[in-house]
Amino acid sequence: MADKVNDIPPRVDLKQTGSRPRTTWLWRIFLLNLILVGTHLGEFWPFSIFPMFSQAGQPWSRAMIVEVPLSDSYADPDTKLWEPTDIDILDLQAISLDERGIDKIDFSNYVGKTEQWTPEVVLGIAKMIPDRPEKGTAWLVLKARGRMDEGAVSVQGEPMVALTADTVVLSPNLYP
Amino acid sequence: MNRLKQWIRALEHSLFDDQPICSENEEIRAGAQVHFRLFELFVAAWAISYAWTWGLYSFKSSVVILELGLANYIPVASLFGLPSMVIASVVTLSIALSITRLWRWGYLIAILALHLQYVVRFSQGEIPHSSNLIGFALLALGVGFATHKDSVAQVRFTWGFLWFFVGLGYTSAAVSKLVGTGITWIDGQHLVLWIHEKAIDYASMTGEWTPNVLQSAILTSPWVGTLSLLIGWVTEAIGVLMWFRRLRPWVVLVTIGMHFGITWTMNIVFVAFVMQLILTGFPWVEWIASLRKLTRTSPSSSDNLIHKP
Repeated sequence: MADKVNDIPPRVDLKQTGSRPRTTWLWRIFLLNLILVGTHLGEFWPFSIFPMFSQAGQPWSRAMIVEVPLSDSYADPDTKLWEPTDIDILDLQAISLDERGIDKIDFSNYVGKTEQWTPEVVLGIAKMIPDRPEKGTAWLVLKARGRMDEGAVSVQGEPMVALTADTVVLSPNLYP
Repeated sequence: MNRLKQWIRALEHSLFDDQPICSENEEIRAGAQVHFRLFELFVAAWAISYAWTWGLYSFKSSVVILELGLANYIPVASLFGLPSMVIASVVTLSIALSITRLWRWGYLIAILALHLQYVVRFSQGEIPHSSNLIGFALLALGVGFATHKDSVAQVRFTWGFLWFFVGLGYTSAAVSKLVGTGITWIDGQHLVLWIHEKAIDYASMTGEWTPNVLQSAILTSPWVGTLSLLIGWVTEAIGVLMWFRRLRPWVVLVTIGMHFGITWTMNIVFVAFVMQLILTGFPWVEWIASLRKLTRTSPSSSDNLIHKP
């Protein structure tokens, strides 16, 4: 029985039938791939050098929204509200971006890569988040920064923007 | 130089000649055609789905944060919203024309339009690689159909081209890690740092995060992380072995295992990658042909009962 199972005839080259592919096109596209990724920082979709996770141990920055009790001192730069705090990943609670149709990476990039917090940029955050916290609470947009120091990993969250039921407030530390 | 030419010829033979569609067995050739049509349907479904979801997302975009690919030369902010719906329509129509064999250039137009849609959607800062395998598949179909009229040559070119770039991509990822970090890349603390990053991402996405068993083990014992990274790196490094038919199922199997490992450690899900690897990486045609042969040649116990005098 085993012999019969393995009784599939060997493969043959069908060059004579005229069906052999034009392999030079593989090498032309391969060359194009090299040129495109070489001149576009390794990315020209679908071509890529696939650099994800290639730089290990580097500090990173992300963003998240957390709910806090409402404060009446948002404009006060000295208030503790705007001070960075340590984040314990084993005790994470956040406002879900998925439920609001926001891409987490886009949100992180928007918060993390913005250098000038102009009124337009702050309004962009307000536009991105479709709803608002209930009265008596506020949502803080945190820029979370992770780093590795001598083998120890830590994460800090820096408040950037506060959203209340009727206002959007930029951290006084970020005033342009 | 002669040795290089020999090596290239051997590689081309492995990629383009060593395929089920080249079999002498008519049943296997027919099976290979069916398998290829299923592959086309799979790629078409994913590509069309990407085209529309990327386009719909662009309604939320207002500024270009990152210029990828053609976005370096075209003001893609002008393609946010309704124009991206036109691009999605072009992708859909072009694929429909090629899959129905009405126009063989359709796949090539579709991959160019999908590239444009990608740079429109991902002008917001993120550079995901989750769609690259589908991109390679559509590009393989695009080039294969545009440069060949013969249907068998189209199939052979598509498979050879696809495996070349898929295998190269995985090995390239391993090389990037060596260039970017060096051999210390496999240090388990690096994985601990990434788990923290992904925990923030996951909580941001869903509202909370709880580590699974593997993540807990890595957070408490970094050597578990070192072992995980070592296995992952070796798996990526051997990606080019997918170029060879006999090794491909084994390499694809460990690669799928690696993708599950990444999902369990970093909450990154590879739905399209894993589905495509399962559909294309195993000798389904030969397996099904062997199974059919087996069932044809071995009379069932019920037959025996019926024909017994």
